[in-house]
Amino acid sequence: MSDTHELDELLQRATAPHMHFDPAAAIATGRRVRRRRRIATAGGALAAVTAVGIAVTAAVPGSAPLLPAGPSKTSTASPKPTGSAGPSATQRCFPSDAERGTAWAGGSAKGSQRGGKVVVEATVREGCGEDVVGVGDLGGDAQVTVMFKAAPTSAQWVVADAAVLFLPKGQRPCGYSFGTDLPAPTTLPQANGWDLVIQPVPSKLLRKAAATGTVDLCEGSTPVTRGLKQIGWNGPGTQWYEDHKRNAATQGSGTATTGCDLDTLVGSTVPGAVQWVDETLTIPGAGRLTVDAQTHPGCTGDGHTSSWDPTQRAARLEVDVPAVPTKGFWDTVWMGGDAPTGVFLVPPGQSLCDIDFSRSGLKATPKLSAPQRVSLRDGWTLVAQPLPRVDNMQTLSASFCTGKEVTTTGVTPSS
Amino acid sequence: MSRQRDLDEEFAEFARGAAPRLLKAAWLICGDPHQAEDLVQSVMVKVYLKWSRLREGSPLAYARRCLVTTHIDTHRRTGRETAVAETPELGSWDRSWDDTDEVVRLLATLPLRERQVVVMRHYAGLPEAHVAELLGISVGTVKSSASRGLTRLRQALHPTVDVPEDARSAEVREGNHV
Repeated sequence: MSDTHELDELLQRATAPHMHFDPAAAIATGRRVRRRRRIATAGGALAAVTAVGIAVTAAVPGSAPLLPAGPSKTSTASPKPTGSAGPSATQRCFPSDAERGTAWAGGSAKGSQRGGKVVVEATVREGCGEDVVGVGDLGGDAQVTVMFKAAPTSAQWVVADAAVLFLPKGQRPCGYSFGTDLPAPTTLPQANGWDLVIQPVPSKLLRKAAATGTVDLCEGSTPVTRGLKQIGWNGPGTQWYEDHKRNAATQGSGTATTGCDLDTLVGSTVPGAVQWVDETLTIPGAGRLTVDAQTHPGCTGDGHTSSWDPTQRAARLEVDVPAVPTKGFWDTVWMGGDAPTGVFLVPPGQSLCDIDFSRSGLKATPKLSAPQRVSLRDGWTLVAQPLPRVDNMQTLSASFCTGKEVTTTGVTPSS
Repeated sequence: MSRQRDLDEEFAEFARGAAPRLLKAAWLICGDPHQAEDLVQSVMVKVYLKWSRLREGSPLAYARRCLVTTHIDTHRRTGRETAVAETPELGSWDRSWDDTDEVVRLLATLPLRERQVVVMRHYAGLPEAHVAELLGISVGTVKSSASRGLTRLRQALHPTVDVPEDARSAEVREGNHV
C-alpha cells in the first residue's frame, strides 16, 4: 500500500450493508431528552409525566414538547386512582395536530431565559382530562403552550421559562413567593376580557419559582387571592400527591407502579419527585460535570444516564431512584479525552476507601489523581474521581468504609 | 409552533442527506451494521438537540465528532466490538470488495484509535488537523496512528510485507482493544 489513495478507494468502494436511519425517531427522542432537561431546569415539580404521555407527545408530528400538568386548580375531575400512575394518554389528552382546540389567549413579550421573547399560546380543548403545559424552543424564543381542559373561570398561572399568568380583567399580580425585585411584567389584554401577564423571572430564581412559586393577586390595592399555586401543582397538599404518597407507603417500593419503572421511564418525573443532588464540579483538564439526582417516591428500579457535550465540554449525569439509597453507589461519566470520571455517592459517615482494578486488565494498580469531594446537605458525599482508561468499566469495583471498617465492597458502576 | 416545525423539517432534511455517509463511517468504525444504526441514531439526537445553533454552522462536523466520541463512550461502557479471530487473507487490491464483511474484518484488525483515524482520514477525507481536533489528539498522533494503521493494513493485504517494529509494539500495547 505505497499509495494511500488505494486505501481511500478501498473504503469508498466498500459496499455497506443496508442500514436504516429514521429522522422522525431522532426528532421524537430529541424532544424527549429536551423535555427532561427542561424538567430538571425547572425544578422537576412543574409537571408530572408518564411514559405513556411522553410516547404520545413525542409521536405528534410538529407539535411542541408538552408536559401534562396534573390536576388544574379548577379541576373537578376525580383524583387519580390509587396505585396507578395517573390517567391514560387519552384521558390526559394529547391531541393530534389536527385537533388544535379553540384559541383562548396568546401573545408575546421579551424576557425569555433564551434571550428572546416568551411566546404564549393558550387553547381550550374540550374533553381533555387535565390541563397541559409545554415549553418549546423557538431558536432563542420560548414557546409556552397551555392547553386548558376547559376555559378558566379563575386566575391561572405557571412558571415556564417566565411566569405566565391568565387573570380576569382587573386583577394583577401583587407579590410572588420566590422574589421581590423582578423585572417589569408585560400585560397583554385579551379579546376574551382576560389579561395575559408575562413576568420575566431571573434565571437564578427560576428553579425555585417553578418548584414552589406562588403568587398573590390584587384588585387595585386589595388582595383577592393569596398564595395561588401554579397550574399542575402536585406537591404536598394536593390530592394527587397524597394519593401517590399513600400508595407508595402501602404498597412498598417492591411493587411496580404502572408507568413508573425508572429503568424504562427515561425522561420523566412523577408526583412528588424530589431533587436530591444538583451539583456542578469542574474536573481539571476535562470540563464541567453536573450531577443531577432525583428521588421518585413510589417508583421502582433506577435510571442512570450520562451525556457529554464536547462543544461545551460539559458532562451531565442524571440519576433517578425511588428514594435516597441506603448504600453507596457510583457511575462512570465520559468527558472526552481518554478516560472517564467516576462519580461516587457516599453515604453519611462513610468514605470511598478503595477502587479495585484487579480485573481491569491493567498491569499495575494505577496512581489516581486527587478526587473532588462535595458534602451534600443530608450528609452524603459526592466524590468525582478521574479514572484511568480501561476496556470495560464494569470490571472495576469500589468499596465504601466506615472508619477503617469496610462497609460495602465490590460495588460496580451502576451504568 | 410553526417555527419549531420548520426547524424539525430542516433537521430532517439534513439528517436524511447526511445519514448514509455517517452510517457507513459508523459501520467502518464499529464493524457492525446494527451497532452503526444505533450509533448514528444517537448522534442525530445530539445534533437535533443543538439544531437551532448548528444549522448556521457545520452540523456535519459536529455529527462526525459526536460519532467518534459516542463510539468511544459506547466502547468503554460495554466493551462491544466486533470480534475478529484472525486477519483476513486478502489477495490484492484488485479483488472484489462486494464482500462487505471483509472490509470490516480488515479494519477490525486495527486498534480503536487507529481505526478511527483511518476512517476519518481515508473515508471521511478529513485533513490531519481536523482529525486531531475531532479525536482530541495531536496532529503527530494522527500521523503516527495513520502510519501504523496503513502498515498494518498493508500487512493484512500483502502478508509478505514486513511490519515495522513500532507497529508491532503498538499492537502489543493496545491489542486488547479489539
